[in-house]
Parts: sequence; structure tokens; C-alpha cells
Amino acid sequence: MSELVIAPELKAQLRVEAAYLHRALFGFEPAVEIAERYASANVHCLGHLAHEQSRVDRIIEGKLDVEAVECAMRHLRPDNLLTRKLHVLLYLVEVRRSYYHLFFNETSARLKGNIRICVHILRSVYKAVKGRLLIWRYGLG
Amino acid sequence: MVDYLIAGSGPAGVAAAYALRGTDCLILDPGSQRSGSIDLSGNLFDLRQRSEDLFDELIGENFESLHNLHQRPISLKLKAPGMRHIVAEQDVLCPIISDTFETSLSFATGGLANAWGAGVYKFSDADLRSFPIRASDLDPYYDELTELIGIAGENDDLAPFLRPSQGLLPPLRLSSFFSEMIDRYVRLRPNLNHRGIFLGRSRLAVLTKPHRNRPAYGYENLEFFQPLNPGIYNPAFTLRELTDAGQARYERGYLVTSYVQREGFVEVFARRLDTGTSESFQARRLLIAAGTVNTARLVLASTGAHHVRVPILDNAMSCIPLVRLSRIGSARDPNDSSLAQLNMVYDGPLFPEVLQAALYGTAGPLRSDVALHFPLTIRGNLECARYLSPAIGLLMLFYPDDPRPSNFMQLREDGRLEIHYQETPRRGVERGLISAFRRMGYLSSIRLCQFPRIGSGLHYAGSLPMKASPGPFELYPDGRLYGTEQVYVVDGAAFSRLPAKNLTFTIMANAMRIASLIRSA
Repeated sequence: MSELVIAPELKAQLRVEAAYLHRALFGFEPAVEIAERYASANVHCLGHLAHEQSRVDRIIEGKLDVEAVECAMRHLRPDNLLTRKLHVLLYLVEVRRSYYHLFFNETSARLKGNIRICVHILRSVYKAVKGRLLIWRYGLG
Repeated sequence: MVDYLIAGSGPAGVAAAYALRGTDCLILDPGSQRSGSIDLSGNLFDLRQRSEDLFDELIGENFESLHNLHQRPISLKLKAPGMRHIVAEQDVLCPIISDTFETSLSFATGGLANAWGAGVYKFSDADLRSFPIRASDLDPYYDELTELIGIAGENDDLAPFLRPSQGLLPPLRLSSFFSEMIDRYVRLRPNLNHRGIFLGRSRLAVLTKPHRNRPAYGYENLEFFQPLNPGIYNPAFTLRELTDAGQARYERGYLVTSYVQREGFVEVFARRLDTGTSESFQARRLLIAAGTVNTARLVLASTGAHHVRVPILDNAMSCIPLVRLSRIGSARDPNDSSLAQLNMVYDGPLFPEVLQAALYGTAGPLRSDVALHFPLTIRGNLECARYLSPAIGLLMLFYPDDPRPSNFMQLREDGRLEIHYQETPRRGVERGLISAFRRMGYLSSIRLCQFPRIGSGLHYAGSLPMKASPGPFELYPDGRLYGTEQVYVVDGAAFSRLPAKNLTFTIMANAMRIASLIRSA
């Protein structure tokens, strides 16, 4: 990896953040490499949005529903830091074999696929509304 | 002194070199190459299921694949670590100022053909209507190129628009999504043709059988991550053949910056990129094949023509997703590839000229590149990526372009090129196509369509157009630049207009034509 000097405190903070976001999306702890790369990617790619970091900190400190807040934020303002951070995480996990099944379907699953999409449409409506409320209540807008 | 100096090693430069093979021909080019030793082999999806971690190969140690998250967006095909060198030096070697026109310029050996879609289509007389040449002038070179590069396709419903071709290799395998689409088209053909819609197989510079010491394409699906697949034509292959056989010389690491027409020859100045020093070369003929934008910059700089306006053309694009509901949840299709599966021609009342589209599956880019295009939560979007992607085809519609006063390039004194372009709004044809495809069983909506910024098509052309009676910054029909005796332009800059059709094949045929004329003069 290119020589990127990250202050140890920042690195530790970003690793904690990676773990929180990863658990929120996938329900388990990330591998060490993912957390490390997440930290580096944030410094390398998202420095221009650093002014929004406090919002992300509040979400994590308040143990808020990340998916809900992100979904609502993305509809309000697609180029927000939380969305970008989760997007980075998606890229980092996609290239690992253990996550392949989350991105690709190797066997026919037409009924399951239709049901899951329908469920997630309904779920997303709920999350979007919840996210809006959380944004309003915690001043994350 | 060399007989011929060619500036550029993309499709035009190499086609010209091929026509001049065996003569005293020197090709100069920056020739950017990939750094690092990442080498993917095999099928991408097999690799992804076998390899623990493909971070270095697919994301990159400098997070190259995350480029669009924090920088000016570039084509998804140009950002992977193995592909970044193709356009890496653009901002340094040819800085552009534009708020309205997206540019991607290549300084790599082979040019933008390192990332092309390999679509190869002959121009008809209708396509060439502003040109001072006819299709019959290009036909011998189309035929020679068909044999040289190997083209897969069929003479089908699109033949009247794409023109029949001899010597085609069998077409690529179709994915099940597009096999079904062509079957449904055949059943509804009379109605669809009546509406101006014609579907057929893409013509691609891709080998479906071994050809001229190159193996057949193996459906590796690595096109977004690694260039130089031997099954997909790249001008670098022909360049290597020519240089290995001693039929041309290639010096990489040079950026041609200007030329001066002398008595009986051209003095060409080039900057060595490793040292920054300038060297001069002398040639009896200079053939400029640096790509439309670079070629314009070179000619304007050489003539000190700051603030002279020259045209710029590109094919505007629309991207229409087509969803086949019955395919939701289908298994990933190993026959799907990132190459165009089908082509469509629209010749109907919604537009005054023939339009062309290429249809693609979703096998190419990383799923993360498109995961946030859906309006659901992140996890919902992942489910869409997984279960909905097999049910989606993408129709990329191209529009023609003709010179307009509002669309031009000009060179500033500081050496930067300004590009101004005013796009024409478009929605009418898209709605008509959505309606027609709905009848075929494919759903879409104008709200789902994307309209990439002009310039994203990478079909730049027309900055120094050929004319029957040219004036300043225009070309004679033989490619010679007005006001010079030995300077020729052989790339897309020479185009007088741009039909809604991939232009690379015609760029190459025209370059061969011009070079052949020069050789026989």
C-alpha cells in the first residue's frame, strides 16, 4: 500500500467506526484487513468530507440505526459522508471470497429473489421514514 | 530523416503504420504502460470464488477503483488498478478546461482501444454524407481490417444499416437474457420493425475462433480490470507484429508537441517524458494520429493558433435499463460478458436520423459501482444487486453529432485546451423505445434512464474535418492539412460529422486509406 501516514488516534477511531458500520450491515465483526483498509481508504478518499465527521460520530456514539439514517440521508443529499463511508465498505468487502454470496447468486432462486426484494422494498420505506425522524431528532441534517 | 513519422499508437496510428509497413516508418508515442505486476488470468467470477482476497487486483493499493467516490468521475472501465494507466497522464500531458464536456484521453500504447467496447461498424454513404469520400473509398480497407483484426458477428436484420460484411467470425455466445430478447424480437418483428426498431448481433473485434496467432476470447470478463486480452483486438497487437517483423519502428516515451513545415520535410518536436528534454525529428511526411483532442491541440499549437475555434463532436448517450421481471432471482449466467450482446438500430419517426444502440448485461463492473443506484437501504440495494442484476439489460443509445457553432475547442496561451459544448436535451426517443420494449416484455421508465455527460462516450471526432475544398484547420480528402505539404491527419479529427455509430472501425479504415494514398504518391 502507498505510504499513507495516519495518526494512530485517527486510525483507531476509524477501525472502531469500520466495526460499527460493518456490524450494522452484515451482523458480524469485520476482518482486521477490512478495518485497516477502511481506515486508509477514509484518509485517502474521503478527506474532502471530513467536516461531516462529527455527524457520523454522533450516529456511532448514539448507537443509532445506521441503515435508516444513511437511507434517508442519501435521498436528501446523495453526496454525504455516511453514504460514502458505507460505499467504501461495500467495495472493500466485495473483493473478498467470503462475501461473494452477498453480491452474486450462483443458483436459481426466483421465488426467494422476488420475496427478498419485496421485503426489502417495504423495509426500506420503514427505514427511510425512521431515518428522517432520527435525522430530525438528533440534528444530523 | 525518416520517410513517415506517425504521432500516436492508437487505432488510427497503427492502422496507418500497417498500411505503410515495410517502409521507413517511425511511430512516436508516450506509450504509458501499467506499473506493477498484477496479472489476472482465468474467469473473473471463478477467481472471485476461489481467491480469498482480490483487493490488490480489483481495488488497488491506492484505492484506484474508488476513484469516482472522490474525484471527477471517469468511465467504470478506466478506474481499476490495471486500467488506470490508460488515462493516467491526461491532466499533465493535455490539460483541459471544460464545465460541459467530459474528456478521457489516453497516452497509452494502443490508446483508448485498451478499454474499448470493440464495436466495429462500417459507415454507409448516408453516414458519410458530409464527408468528401464515399463508402466505396473505405470498403477495401474495411475488408482488409476485417481479416487483420478478426470480427465476430452476423449479417442479420441490422445488415442494411451496418452494411453486409464478408469474412465474419461466428458471433459471440449470447447470455440467456439476450437469447430470450432476440427470440421475443423475432416473434414481434413485424410490429417492432414497423415502429422503426431493428435488433441483431453486435459486430465486435473479438475472436470466437483462433485467428492470426491470437486465441479465441475465453469469456474471462476481465475487460474492466485488465487490458490486452488476446481475444479482443488491441492496436498494440498489430504494433508488436510490425515492430517484431522490422516493418515499423516504435519509440515510446515521447509526446509530440509541435511541428514545423520545412522545405520538403516536416520537423517534428517531441518531449522525452523521462527527462523533459525536447528532441526533434525530421520526416518526409508527418501523420498525426494522436486522438481528436490531442491532434487538435498539436495542430493549433504548431500554428500558434490560440483562440481559433475548431469543432468537437461526440455521440451523446442515453442509458436505458430494461428489466425482465421473470428473470429476477436467476442464477448468474456464465455466458454473460461485459461486451455488447446485441445491437439495436432505430429508424423511426421519433428522430430524423438513424440511431444505434448497444445492449449490455451487468457482468462488467464491480457490483459496488452500481449498488447505490437503487433507492433502497444499503442491504436492500445489495439484494437488488444480487437478485435483480440477472434480470437487467442496459441499452446504451447513441446520437449523431454534426458541427455546431456552440461546440468547439480552442487553445489558450497557457497551453490548456478549452472545450465548450452545448448538449441538446433528449427524452423523446427514450420514451418511444421504453414503450416498444414494454411490448416485448421488458420494463423501464424514463426516471430510471441515465444521461451521461457529453464526452463520456469517448467517440471524439471532427476537430479538423475533411472537406472537398478545405480552408484553415481543415483537411483535403487525402487527409492533408490545409496550408501544409507534408502534414496529414489520420484519426477521428478528420471526420466531417459523426453518425450514431461506433467510429473506431472507420477511423482505422480511413487511416489506412490515407496512408495508402501517401505511400502510392
